[in-house]
Amino acid sequence: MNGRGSLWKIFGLLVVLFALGLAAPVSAQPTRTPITTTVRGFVTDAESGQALPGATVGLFSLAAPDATPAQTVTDNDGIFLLGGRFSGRYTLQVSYVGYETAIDTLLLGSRDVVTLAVQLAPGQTLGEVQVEAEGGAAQVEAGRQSIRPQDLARIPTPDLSGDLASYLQALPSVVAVGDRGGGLYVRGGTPPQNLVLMDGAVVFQPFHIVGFFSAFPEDLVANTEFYAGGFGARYTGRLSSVLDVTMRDGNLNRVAAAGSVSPFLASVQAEGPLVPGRVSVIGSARASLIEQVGPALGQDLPLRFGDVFAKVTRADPQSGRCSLSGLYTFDEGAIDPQATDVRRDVFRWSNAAMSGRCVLLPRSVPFEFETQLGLSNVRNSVGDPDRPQRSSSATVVNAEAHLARVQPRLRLGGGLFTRLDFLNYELGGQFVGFRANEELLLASGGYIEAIWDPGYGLELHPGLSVTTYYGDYAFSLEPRFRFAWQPWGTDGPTQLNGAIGLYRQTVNGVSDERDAGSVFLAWLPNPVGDGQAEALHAMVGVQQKIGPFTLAVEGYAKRLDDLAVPIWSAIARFTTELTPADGSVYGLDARLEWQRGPFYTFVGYGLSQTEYTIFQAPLTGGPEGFQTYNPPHDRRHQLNALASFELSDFEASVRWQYGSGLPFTRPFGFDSFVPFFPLPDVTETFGIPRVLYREPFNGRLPAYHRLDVSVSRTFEVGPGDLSVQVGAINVYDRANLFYFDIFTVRRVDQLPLLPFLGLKYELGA
Amino acid sequence: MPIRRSFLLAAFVAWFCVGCEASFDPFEESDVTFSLFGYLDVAADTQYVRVNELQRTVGSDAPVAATVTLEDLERGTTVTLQDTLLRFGNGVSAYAFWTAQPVAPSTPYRILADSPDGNDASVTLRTPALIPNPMLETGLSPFSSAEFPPTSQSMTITDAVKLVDLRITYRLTEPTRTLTLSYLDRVQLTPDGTFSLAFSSYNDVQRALGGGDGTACPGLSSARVFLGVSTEEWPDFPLFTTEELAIPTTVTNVEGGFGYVGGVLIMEYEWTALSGAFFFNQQSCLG
Repeated sequence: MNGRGSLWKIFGLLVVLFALGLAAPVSAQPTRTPITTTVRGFVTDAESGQALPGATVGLFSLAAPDATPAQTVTDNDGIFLLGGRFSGRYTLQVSYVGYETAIDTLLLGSRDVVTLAVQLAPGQTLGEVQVEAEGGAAQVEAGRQSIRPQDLARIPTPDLSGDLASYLQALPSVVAVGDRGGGLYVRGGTPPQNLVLMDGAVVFQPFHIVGFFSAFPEDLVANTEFYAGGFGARYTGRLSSVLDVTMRDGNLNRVAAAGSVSPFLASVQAEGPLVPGRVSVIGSARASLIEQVGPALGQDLPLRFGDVFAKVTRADPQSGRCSLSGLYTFDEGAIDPQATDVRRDVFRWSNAAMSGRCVLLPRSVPFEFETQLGLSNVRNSVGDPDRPQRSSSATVVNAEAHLARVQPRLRLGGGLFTRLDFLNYELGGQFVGFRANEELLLASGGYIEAIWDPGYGLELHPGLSVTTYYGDYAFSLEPRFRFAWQPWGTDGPTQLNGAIGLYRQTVNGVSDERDAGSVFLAWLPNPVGDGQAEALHAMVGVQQKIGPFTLAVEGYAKRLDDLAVPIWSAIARFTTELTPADGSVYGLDARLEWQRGPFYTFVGYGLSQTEYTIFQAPLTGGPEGFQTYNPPHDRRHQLNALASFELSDFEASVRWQYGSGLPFTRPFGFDSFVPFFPLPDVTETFGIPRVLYREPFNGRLPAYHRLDVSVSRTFEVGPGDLSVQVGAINVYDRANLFYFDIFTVRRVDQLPLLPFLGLKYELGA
Repeated sequence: MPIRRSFLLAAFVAWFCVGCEASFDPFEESDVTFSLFGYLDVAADTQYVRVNELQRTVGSDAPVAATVTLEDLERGTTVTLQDTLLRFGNGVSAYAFWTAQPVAPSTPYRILADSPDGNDASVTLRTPALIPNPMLETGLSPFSSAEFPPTSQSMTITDAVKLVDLRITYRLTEPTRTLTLSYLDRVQLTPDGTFSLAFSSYNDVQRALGGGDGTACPGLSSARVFLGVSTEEWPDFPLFTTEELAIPTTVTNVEGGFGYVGGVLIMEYEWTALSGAFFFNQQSCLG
């Protein structure tokens, strides 16, 4: 019996146990004790019909008012599930900030399943239910946080809509190496190690070439689950982080439209019912303007980007929601337009993603059922659009089915998936050994996970995912575990939490990290080592409420294996070999949040150290051996301070960010060395240009800091609302170094002081 | 208290704004200023040494701030080399320092690159001795009883301490082109200290043209032998990969700098007799 067969048997056994776990309590109820009842439902906005993720749901016994209520929060689809041996009269309270609390009286004990449709009307929230899932930057639990649209609005962005990209860069876990290029590094992980999902479909490179923007503006995002690490068994195929974005549904009841313009981009958006109360549509299109506006601001910024999004949703308040979402993004530009060599290359990438998804609460069974079909493609190229010097594309088709149900103190979930990756690349010799090829990878697998409440304020989340590949890769078994403990009860001010898990990634985006000006990503099956790249995450944290403050501190460690990195070379050349690197990441995030009335402040500090180890000869000579270095995204210290004020039609926000210097290769010189075989004529042979340095990334760029401000106000104009925003990026005009071209001894800076004025007009909002 | 808070805030902002222009030195501190590449050829009438000033853009034509001298350590004479700007095809340029001072065989020399800031780089080397002309045998025996003319050639080099290069440049008539082949790795050192090479130039050319199976029938007009000999100090450059050689400390004899400068004797000869061997072989090929 081979290893794969054994593992399949183990997985089969787990599936059977899981199925028994789901089914047994339904069929084996004691006759005299209360039956297990699942109270479940959808929570929606009464006016728009849109799902409300993160609403708090509590079930209070009228017979025993002092008993601890069953509580939960709605998920990204506005769904809640409560399970227990309920008997008698209960009140169900559903609350969400900015909405009136809904209270309903239920008589439970006679039915297995009670399905409710709860509609919340905008208004004043009552304080009866502890609202745990409101979000906020300090509401982090073992790397996970919920990000709401209003969180995005607090970050000064040169557009009237906030953006997920700008928000993420305010978090201590996330590093951006510059204000262009479209890559975010999460806790030492690289951009292609981040799993970004749009309604369940993978989006390979969703961050735009101008770093403030992504495919996820505030106006289109319903909710985002962000895992900086330690994510659960449901998510597979990436090493570093998960950004699970749920896009907003269109308004089910009325038509609304908006248009905006700012120096960076223009956008239009419309939404409304196709079948009132049942089917809605929302669409958006955005295109950048900075290339045209830049010269007027004294900036040559030949950067173009944009995106188009549409979503059709069919909602049934009793049984579920189905949606079809489509997203297209494009980015194009030279990262360093002033360069005179290959760094002047024009980079392009585009994403096309489509997701069909249904979330159902079947009438007769106490399950939540979710199915999703996704199709996603990314295209990268460098050079002439018709004849690119290098290109890479990746297409993934995924089909998934998920099931969840609740028991008293236990929520069980599981699912199956199949994923087909089609990779196509023409690399022009950039990475030695990978010139041009097509690859097809088929994988399938499943996962099981549980959330178990054993009492004592403890919540345990074990999980296990299994992936098998029809090809060269080994069967992958990835155990995950998360926990949260509130030692003074669920109403207490303290929560301890942690996570540990194993992660593997087969399809990797490989970049030439020697050159910060090159943002080309080649999507390849892991090109080094014997199998998939691997990461082991471990983290532990504490969240403490102190009066109006929330303090969250979290320490983390990662072990990385078989990452593909370019070898060190003294020769200044475009091509490079890839070599396996093992690595480690250690860090600490601290977040302090304060909110009172219209005022909000947040301070986040991140401490991180990332190291890669490769087997190679040192560049100063000596025997071959293991060499250790800090990769170019290893930002040791990062500090973000944010303050915002929001009152009626007036909003103001200010953000200051500081990042310690990123590693760069500090040479002590360069020359052209002349090979002596065959004997050259030194007057006719130029030789081979080379950089003289002792080790790569041995220097640090200067620290980076920047102050951004924005003020906006909304006026009633005609039938709609006109919002006016003024602000500035880099208020004190700090010359922040983006990167240094050591071959031409030339610095490339990030954006200087850039004032902006934005206008937005909304109808039917 | 509010006044004090405001003051602290202003001081905080001012402190950061003072450093708005971040000073940045991209170079690591080092007392290494130059790299030197080249050789002294006892058979040449002009000597060239390439001098790179580190910490300036590769390929730029800014003058190299150095005084370069050549000192005959046996006779105690010193000459100052003159600089010349070399321009190459791809728009880059470099500086070489040259002298028409004759270089004697079997003599120690010192080359010194002296910078104004006192960071010097120097090389001490010894030139090789003169050797007799190599014996070149075409192996052509037109009156032999062999069915086909013999094809093997041989070369014998005596009194050389170390061979550092051996190439033959073939000027072909069919196809019309020049082809240079290296033979250094095929040279045998015999017990009496003689270097010998046996080869088939016709087959070598045919193979190099991609016709190793006999499909190509090259014709030859003339051939030129390029021979370089040196002293024992000369490194075995062919043993290193380009990547290894790019590591500045892999091979260097420059004190206070990087690079390599050695002493060589370069000999070049026309080998006209080879064309006859090619002629016979071509007949065979065509026949």
